[in-house]
Amino acid sequence: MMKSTERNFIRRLKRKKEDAIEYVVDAYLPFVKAVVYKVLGSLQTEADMDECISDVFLAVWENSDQFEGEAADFKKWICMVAKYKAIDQYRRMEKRKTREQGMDDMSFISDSNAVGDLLAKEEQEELLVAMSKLNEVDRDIFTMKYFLDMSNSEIADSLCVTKAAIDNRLYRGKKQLSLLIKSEWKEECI
Amino acid sequence: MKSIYKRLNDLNIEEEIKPVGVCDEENEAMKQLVRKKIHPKRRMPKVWRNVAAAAVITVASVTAVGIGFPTLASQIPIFSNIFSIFNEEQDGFYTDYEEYAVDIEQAQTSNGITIMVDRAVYDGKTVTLTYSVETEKELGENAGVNASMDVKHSNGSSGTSTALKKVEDNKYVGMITTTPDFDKSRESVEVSWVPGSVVQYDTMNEIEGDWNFHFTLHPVTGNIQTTGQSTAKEGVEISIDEIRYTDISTIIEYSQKVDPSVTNKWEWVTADLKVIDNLGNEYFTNGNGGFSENDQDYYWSTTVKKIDEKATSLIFTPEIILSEDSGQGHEVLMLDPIEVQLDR
Repeated sequence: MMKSTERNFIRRLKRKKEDAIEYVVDAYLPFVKAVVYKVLGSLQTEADMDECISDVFLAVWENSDQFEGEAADFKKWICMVAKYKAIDQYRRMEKRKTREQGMDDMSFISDSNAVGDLLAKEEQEELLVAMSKLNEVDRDIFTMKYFLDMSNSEIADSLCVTKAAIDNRLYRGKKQLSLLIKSEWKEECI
Repeated sequence: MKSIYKRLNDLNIEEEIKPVGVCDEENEAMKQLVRKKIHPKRRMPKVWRNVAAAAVITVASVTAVGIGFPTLASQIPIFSNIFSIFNEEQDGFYTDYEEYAVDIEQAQTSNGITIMVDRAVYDGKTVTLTYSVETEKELGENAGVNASMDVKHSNGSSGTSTALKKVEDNKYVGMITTTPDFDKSRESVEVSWVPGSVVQYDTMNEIEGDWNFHFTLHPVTGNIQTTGQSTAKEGVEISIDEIRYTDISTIIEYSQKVDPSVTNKWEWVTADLKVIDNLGNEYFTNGNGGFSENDQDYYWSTTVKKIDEKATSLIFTPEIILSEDSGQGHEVLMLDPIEVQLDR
């Protein structure tokens, strides 16, 4: 029986060989768990977190063709996927809470901090489409901001620029995005 | 449009993530959860029924062909009649297997361990293989060969494996089965068994090696009786679709239809059959697992030994196990028995 190893697991994963995802669980569960716990922390039950962690591996399995790189890059990617999934789950829980409290008030692209907080799946996709029209740097900034829930200073650190520069770009980017989304919406209405 | 997963590749974030501790059980549980999510449609319960704990009785009366290692090249079996060793604890299930199984007699040595495939048989449903293992070092009382069999052209399979049963110092025997799922019945099956390692379960020590066995089997002959009789209660309907009488076994194909009201409440609905004949003989069932297209209506099959020649009918009592996810409580629902007149 062919077995997945550090050297071949990416190839086998992309070919949908099941032992590859088992290898990924063996090798990366400690990291994925760390990321998910950090985001969801004590807010959720063990079962919710296991649900989220298994969703991460499922997403890795289903989107393995989207991964580009070597084993060394894989750790970074799966941690990003974990963070994205955990944030996503966190938002869904928050959204449910809000709804339960009868305060279901969400306007897309509204004020500063709340923007990314309540993205539904369709809104996410809409945002992704709109983002594709931004330049590379702005796309990275938006991904970090709205899909990975990073703070402006964290983004600044990871891109080696000042926080002011990020604030600025986010402000302009948001304006551009809301125009893009609005005009699309208008076109659809006509 | 790039998907978010593609976008995540491009991000250049240096964040040091300290791994947290994960114990073996947690790791295993996660794999199971992931496996289940990967296969939402095709669940195969009862896979790898490992009888590790039960199978450590030393059998003294085995016909042993005592040979030393140098002669192994001549490929003489270390042990034969392995079916009979397992026959007793399985209530005579394997009585006719020895006669119809074909000799494979392939032996390979790797890393100080010789695995010898003794005999194998395909009853049209399940491939059953017996093998013996001879080691340089004692494996202990609780060991197993780590691999399932692969059958070419199958969509999926379920299987069972026994633990290694010690028959003499450094000599063990085992049996492994696989039930492949084919789109149509096949005139022959190509089987591969490539054990990756021998595992000592007490210490979880794994002795890796390189063993490769490939062989082709033809199904033993048999007759099919289609029935279609069914019974239902509380939203679960079981029908006995087909009974196949082969030279070595009797295979019962049955299916379940489950009302959404039941599946809404229970994560798993699995149907077992209790099988007795009109003379009062009860038959030990060896479930082959099942498959489903929609996660609630399953096609199951189970195998029992040859039915008593004098019996004229079989009485099937479906036992439905309704369970929450992974052992978080279950209920048993007994349906009314179905009596089928035998037409062999």
